[in-house]
Amino acid sequence: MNTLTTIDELGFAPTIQQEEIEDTTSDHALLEATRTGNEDAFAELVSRYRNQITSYIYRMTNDYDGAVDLAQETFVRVYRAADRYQRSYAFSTYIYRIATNLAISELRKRKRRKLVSITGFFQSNDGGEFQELNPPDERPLQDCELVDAERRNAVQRAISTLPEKYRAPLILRDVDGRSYDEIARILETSEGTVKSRISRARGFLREKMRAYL
Amino acid sequence: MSTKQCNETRRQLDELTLDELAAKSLDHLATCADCSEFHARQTRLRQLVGSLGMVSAPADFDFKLRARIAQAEANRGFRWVDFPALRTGLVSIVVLLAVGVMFIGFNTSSRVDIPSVAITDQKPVAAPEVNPAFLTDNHANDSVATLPQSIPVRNPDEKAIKKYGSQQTSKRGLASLDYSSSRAGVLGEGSAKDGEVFPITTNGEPLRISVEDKSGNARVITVPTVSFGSQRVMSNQFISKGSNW
Repeated sequence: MNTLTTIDELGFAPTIQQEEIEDTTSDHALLEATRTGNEDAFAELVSRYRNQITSYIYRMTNDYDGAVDLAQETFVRVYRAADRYQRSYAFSTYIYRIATNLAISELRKRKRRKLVSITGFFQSNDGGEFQELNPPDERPLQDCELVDAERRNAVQRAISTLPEKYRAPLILRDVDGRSYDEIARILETSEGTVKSRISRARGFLREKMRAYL
Repeated sequence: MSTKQCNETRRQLDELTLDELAAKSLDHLATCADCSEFHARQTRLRQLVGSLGMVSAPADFDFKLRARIAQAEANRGFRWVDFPALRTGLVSIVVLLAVGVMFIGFNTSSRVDIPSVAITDQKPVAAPEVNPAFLTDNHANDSVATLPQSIPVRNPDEKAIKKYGSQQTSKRGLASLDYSSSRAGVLGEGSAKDGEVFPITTNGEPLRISVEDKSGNARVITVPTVSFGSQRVMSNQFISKGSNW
């Protein structure tokens, strides 16, 4: 039987190296490197979050081109504010907060312009109750993919009719799978408020999606 | 079915996964048909929402982002946030300048250039020479009295006049002679000259002058007191322009 005489043989070295790699590739470290002018570090951050942020904003706004534009604006703001970034919370919380603010700002702009998609749902003027402009086609479809696509479209349209204060926590929870605690930090509100809003949002969706449930 | 328990179970179903549900709620879920139906629909809904999945960013996302950042940096220009020391210094200079301007302005407005003319510094008004023969003994008890060399007699109302008259003139900064603190001179016997102006005080009574020419014609002139503020003047028509009337 051979005796293990070196650290490598004992198996400690790989563990130490792994810790170093993780430390230098953390979001905080990458943003710190970005601050010093390391463009590659920022590119790595972008590659990690571009799909998440684009998808999140798309679910919020139901507009892909606009979502891509806002996602890029999110990264521009992260880049320009790298000097003022504080490590008090996770980078994902930080970037999602920026994206949320941009998305909500965009939704409010649309509301002012009264740009409502005629193919989607819209909220009635008497408030609270949702109306469906284009009712779902309940005839059976032959292709399962088409059925799934239709369901997803219906869900997306239903989500886009939710008030913004219900929409963001629902997407963060049920689409992105984030914890209540993180959602509360992203939205800068209490955990209880987040739970309440998510429950209310699901109630709205249940009413909207009755035909699919 | 317990409504309270139903509400609690549905609240937990909203917030928790099935594994995290309390035992009491699990038991209730097994026995309550409404809550079971709620749970089934809730699960289906969450599956539907979760099935949305992730949308991918376009392939040229990074390229466009780099261009956008480059453009943003080019348009960034000068920002005060980037130079806190410079910003603080400039703010301090502006504040100091503002304080200096305010101080100078205050001093300028509070300084009043008043030509202070003291009555005692003035030369006493030369009394017109009057022929002693014009002043008879008959009028010695009249208000005609001795003309002083200066004007030392003080007005009894000096305090009040000083209080109001002098303060008003000093505030307005008017260049004026202040006669309020002195009494008008009294025409003295044999000291007035013809054709000269002299101050007269009559204590409110009209001035009476008795004159007599060389031929022995005597005449008494009564002059009413004319007052302009603190100055008392006599009309020019009563000033003798020569020895002959």
